[in-house]
Amino acid sequence: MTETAEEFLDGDGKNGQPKAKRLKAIEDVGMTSSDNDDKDTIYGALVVLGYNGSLPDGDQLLKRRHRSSYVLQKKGSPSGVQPFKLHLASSNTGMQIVNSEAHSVSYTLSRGNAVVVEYSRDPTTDMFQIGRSADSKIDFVVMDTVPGNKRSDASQDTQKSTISRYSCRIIVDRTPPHTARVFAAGFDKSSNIFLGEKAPKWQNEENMMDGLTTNGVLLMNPKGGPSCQPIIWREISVCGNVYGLRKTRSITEKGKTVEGESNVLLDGSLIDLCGAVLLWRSAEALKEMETLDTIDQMREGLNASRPQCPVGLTTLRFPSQSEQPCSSVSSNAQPYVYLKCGHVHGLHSWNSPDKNVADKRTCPMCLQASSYVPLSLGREPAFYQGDAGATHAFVPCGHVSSEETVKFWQQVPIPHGCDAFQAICPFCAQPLEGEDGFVKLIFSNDE
Amino acid sequence: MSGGLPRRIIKETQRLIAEPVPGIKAEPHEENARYFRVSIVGPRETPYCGGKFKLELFLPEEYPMAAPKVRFMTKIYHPNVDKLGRICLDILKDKWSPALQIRTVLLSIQALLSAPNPDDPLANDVAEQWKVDENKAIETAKEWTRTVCQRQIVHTSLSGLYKSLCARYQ
Repeated sequence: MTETAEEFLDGDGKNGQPKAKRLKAIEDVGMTSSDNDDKDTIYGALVVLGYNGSLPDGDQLLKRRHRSSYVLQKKGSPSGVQPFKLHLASSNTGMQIVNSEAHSVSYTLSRGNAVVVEYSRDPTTDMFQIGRSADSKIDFVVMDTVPGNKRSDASQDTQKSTISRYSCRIIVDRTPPHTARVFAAGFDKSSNIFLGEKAPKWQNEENMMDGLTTNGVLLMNPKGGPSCQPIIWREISVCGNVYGLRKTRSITEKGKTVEGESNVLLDGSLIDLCGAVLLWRSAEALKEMETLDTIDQMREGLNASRPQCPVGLTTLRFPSQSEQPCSSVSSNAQPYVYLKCGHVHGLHSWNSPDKNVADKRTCPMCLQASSYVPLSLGREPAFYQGDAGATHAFVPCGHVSSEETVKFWQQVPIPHGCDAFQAICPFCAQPLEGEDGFVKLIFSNDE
Repeated sequence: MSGGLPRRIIKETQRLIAEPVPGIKAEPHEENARYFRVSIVGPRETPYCGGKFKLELFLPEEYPMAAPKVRFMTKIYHPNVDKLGRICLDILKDKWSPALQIRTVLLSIQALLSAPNPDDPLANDVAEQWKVDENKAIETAKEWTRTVCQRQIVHTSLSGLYKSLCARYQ
């Protein structure tokens, strides 16, 4: 990691609210073109699905680089590498390369036979590495996402992690338009990538070796784009080629080659690392999208409309990020929703006596039975589609967002298990439930 | 108002007084803010037109988790109201929801005057009459309304006289 990127992360790492300052910083910088000072150039940002703008407490040691989002910024000196030469691992040069500082990818073939692809410096690109490892070769440390943001209790067993320590790398052109591409696997402490015996690997038409990582790195753009079809997940190889998905996640047979698609990241692209999903927002989108400030303004506007609990006739309000809902003063004002009908209430104890179903409550407004959960605002600006709004909530978690946002995410399939997909709430990664996966909120107002 | 009265009851009372429902008057008792004196004007084009019906409404301790207790004080010939003034209305029983309010309850009772429901009776004889001969039932209801109304007028003027006499001799 270079100085500039490090500084950037340190600068906003003090109060546990990284997103606010960071996005502000982007606006202040006003990076419009390459005319700006090089080190201010922002390539884009990666945001992990399932975190609502910040990580839960804990993980202090890793806090500096383990975050819910990461801004890719031009590095002080080019850090990209590109394939250069193929060697037999058993040859002298092959062994030298593996043992040297030079970047290389080793492909273990059968019975200890291996080839080494030597990588050379590429002065035209910057490389960003992503993985679970805390070592300095990783720019953005990503841990397995626990749905529901309930990490605090979990002494999350790293043994159980499915994310690779050196999971993927992103190579960005240092010159505009700063095209970013994703590649499977990252270089380890000694600048090597070793593809194990079980990982699929092959020699392609140009006689270059290529392979997949054990659990694979998948790429998808929900809206599609010039180099990809909408909604369809692809697997990206170590060399950045595009393949169809394997029959199940980690079998050794690679998927079909896909023509005419690429590993270029477009705004909205999702990268699945098998355990965490990263959302790519382009530099242009970062300038356009909502910020924590605009979302907070929306929150204030919502509170100013004085939504009421139809039972207690009390005024409800959504707390700001600094006053989290645990305080007893605000608990009376905490909005709750019935997930089936969307009627918003304050916390109350009434339930219809004749509809006593376990885990379900009867809505006083429409007498439909459903679960009754607290609402919390979606605060991560990167997950919003269009303008900020608080008209809908994801089911079953109760994260509040705009109609466009909930309708967008409920149709995005996120890989789940070996061969399944599910829609999730981007703010907490809980799988969506019910027919739609969201509900329109119905507020009562002081008439 | 008495201390310890839930905020909800205070708010409901304030609004009932500030924005009364047309045809309905509800006033809390001076000494018990949970007890309301209510009067509902008989809706037009019903046999109750011209009458003014007194009710009492009490908010039990569990209100709004439990329904208010409402009773007609004025005699009324209606299939869903019995001799004691008790009202057969689902929202006062199993269909109660805390999202309902005093206002909505009284509106529902007003609506019940416009739309008697003899199929779900409380006063069986009245309901029977309603089913057998609706016209006659309506006539009876009109008759009762007139009598009650006149009695009320007499009562009001008598009590007015009494008050003014009291005032004179005090």
